[in-house]
Amino acid sequence: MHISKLTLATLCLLAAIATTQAQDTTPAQPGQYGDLPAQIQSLKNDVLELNRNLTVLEKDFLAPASTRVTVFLSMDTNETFDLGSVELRLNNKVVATHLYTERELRALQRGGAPRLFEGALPPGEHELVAYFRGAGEDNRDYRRGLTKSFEKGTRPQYLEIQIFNVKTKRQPEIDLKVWE
Amino acid sequence: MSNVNQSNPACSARKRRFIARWPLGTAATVVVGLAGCVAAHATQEPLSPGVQRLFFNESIFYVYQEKYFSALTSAEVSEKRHPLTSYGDGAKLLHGGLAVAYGNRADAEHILQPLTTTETVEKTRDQAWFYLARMYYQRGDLTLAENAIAQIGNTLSKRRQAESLNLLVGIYTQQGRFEEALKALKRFRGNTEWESYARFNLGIELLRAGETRPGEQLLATIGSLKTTNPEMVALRDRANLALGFSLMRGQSPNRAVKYFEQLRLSGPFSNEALLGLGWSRSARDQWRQALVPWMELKNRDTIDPAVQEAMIAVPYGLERIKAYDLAVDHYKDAIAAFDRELGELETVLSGAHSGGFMGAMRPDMVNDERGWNWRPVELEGVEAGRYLRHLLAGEAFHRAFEDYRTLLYLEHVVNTWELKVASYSDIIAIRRANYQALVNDAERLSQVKKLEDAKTKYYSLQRELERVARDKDALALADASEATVMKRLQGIERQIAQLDRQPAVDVKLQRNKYRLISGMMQWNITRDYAVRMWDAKSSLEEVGAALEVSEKGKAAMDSALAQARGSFEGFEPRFTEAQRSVTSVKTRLQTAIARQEDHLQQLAIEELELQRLQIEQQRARARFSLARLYDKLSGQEGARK
Repeated sequence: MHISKLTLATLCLLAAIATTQAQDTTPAQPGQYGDLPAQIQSLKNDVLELNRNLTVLEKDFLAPASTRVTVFLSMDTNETFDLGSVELRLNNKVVATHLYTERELRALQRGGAPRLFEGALPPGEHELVAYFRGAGEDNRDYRRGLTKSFEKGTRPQYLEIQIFNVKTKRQPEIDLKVWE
Repeated sequence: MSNVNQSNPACSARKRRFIARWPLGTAATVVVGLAGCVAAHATQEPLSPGVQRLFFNESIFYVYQEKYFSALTSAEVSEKRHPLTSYGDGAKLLHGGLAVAYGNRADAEHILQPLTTTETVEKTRDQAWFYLARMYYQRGDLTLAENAIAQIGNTLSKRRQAESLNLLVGIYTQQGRFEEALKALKRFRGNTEWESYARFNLGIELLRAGETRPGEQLLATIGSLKTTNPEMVALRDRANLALGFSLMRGQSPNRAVKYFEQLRLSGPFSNEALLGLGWSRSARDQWRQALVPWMELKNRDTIDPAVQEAMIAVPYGLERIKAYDLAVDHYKDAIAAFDRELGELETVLSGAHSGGFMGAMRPDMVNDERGWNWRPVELEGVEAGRYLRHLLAGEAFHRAFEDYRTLLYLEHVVNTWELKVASYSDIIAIRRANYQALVNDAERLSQVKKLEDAKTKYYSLQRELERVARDKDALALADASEATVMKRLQGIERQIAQLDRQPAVDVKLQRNKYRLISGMMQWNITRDYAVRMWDAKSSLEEVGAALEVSEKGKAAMDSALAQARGSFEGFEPRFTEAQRSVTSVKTRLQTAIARQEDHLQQLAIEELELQRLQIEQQRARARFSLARLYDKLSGQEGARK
């Protein structure tokens, strides 16, 4: 009795294993929900387009080109530096804060450059202050501030806060690159 | 790539499934290899290359987190506002690769196809073919996928080459071209994870096709992998499990034992392994040894079919070693456990029918694009969660749930925009009101009026001065006192003329005096003409300069006004249109979410009913076996009597 059931169980289990193997094709689903995957993909595309158009519109509305200031963050350090958080101030006003997840940190370390801030500033001199917290070599507490002034003209202004290693120092350094 | 959140079983489970399809994930590798072909295309750009790099790397930041929606938005916004032309085809390749990952196949093909021409740099072209191959494979166009792979040159990284070979093996396997698949396996260079997955998948398909020997040989190579990589260890478990059951099916329990024993006791396939180990020992009549894994298994979660099977196998094994009383107890335990499980299942099913199940399934956080923080409800102590784990393990349910979570995230995005657009409409109203207040400001209007009057007067004086200069009209340059005197002289002249008309009056003396004074006056003024003209011009220039300053002030004010007008004018229709789009998409999203919930609920109910049927069958088996045992025992008792 059990041998025949064993064979059946074996076949069922084998079938179960086989169905979880590599199958990347997405066959059409029959039945009343068969059209859903296509409908969802269509919605995904439409929301993406909407998001893109509204992002452009929002940027034009809140920060037109003549007043636009964009601040990026980049990192060129080894993996012993774990950035925890950043606080960005412009003209003594907090404009951005962020706590980094492990995934975001890895993305930064691999070359990603997140946008910290985009907004409007009038032409003239402005002050940027950035505070960083994290853990450096040997898990030592790392706190560093950066204060820099920059001149805003009538064209969009792009700024890059760079975190980078210096051979002679154990802790990473921070600087501001003002792009022309 | 191995930084999966290991503390989150749901994430790990998803990752495992994902990895089974795309070892190590395709996500973060979307752009791997782009850097090389990107650098080769640097050209002159409106944005400096340094700034373009920032925009490109912003997309990359999201790619490395597998956030394709954000990455695509970033790439497309860049493309719309300031194309990253210094990246040449690299930006297009990124865009195309992201479109493939996002499932937007039409766009992906549209973007990638032009990159496959001979005019494209070879490295970029190979990457484009690779993405196309992957996309065709995903949508089931195996012939197109095979053709795309055939176009790939030798510029891909080793990792990508291995991935494309895995695709090729997958194509051959699905088409039943096993000989070619086996030949393709030999083309792998180095011991890559892709090769392991290709071997595993082909091995399973060969077993299913009845090609036992080559299938088992392939699986044996995976089953003996020396690795500490959790993904590969899981794959090794699966290979050993499949091998064990295949050998059992082939009536080779002696060999099967070895493979079942190689599985981890705490791995995701340990239940099946324990069951198989017991069966393989029992097939050799080693019933006492068979009871060891089964006894371990029967204490695990009853919802697992392997555990249910063990609950009946244990008393059967006890029967075989003649421990009848114990066997009776275990059969009774099994029946009681199945009764309990069926009772709980009934409650869960009832909840599922009334929609409560979907309530428990709904993620708490919908603003997480990748769903890394989503945890299955069993972790939250919800009873239905026990069954959810098994539901999620099913491919159809998993995909449906991923789609559901995606829809919820998209709804979150659209809801956010809805709020933003409404607030921006308010800002437009405020900006318009501020502008109108500025336009209608009385003081400003009065100043503008005065300036206009002054300008009119200035231009009038300028014209008059030009006339004076042209006509040499020196008298026009008389100062105020001289003008008064001249006016009096004109009056005197009129009086003299009147008197002169009277016969008795002699005005000769007065006339002479008048002529003398008048002449002196004119002479004085004419004599100072140059000086007076210079003074007049200087004064007018001063006025002009003052007017110029005022004009600049007014121009600045006009500019401010224009800027104020520009801050709302033109945006209103755009936001109105945006509002319409948001509302339309939101309605469609809500409909799709409702349908997807229905779909998931139906899948859940089907699965739960299947589980119920299985347990009912197991209970029937246990009852039958118990009855049979009682008969047997009473028969023995009767025989003894």
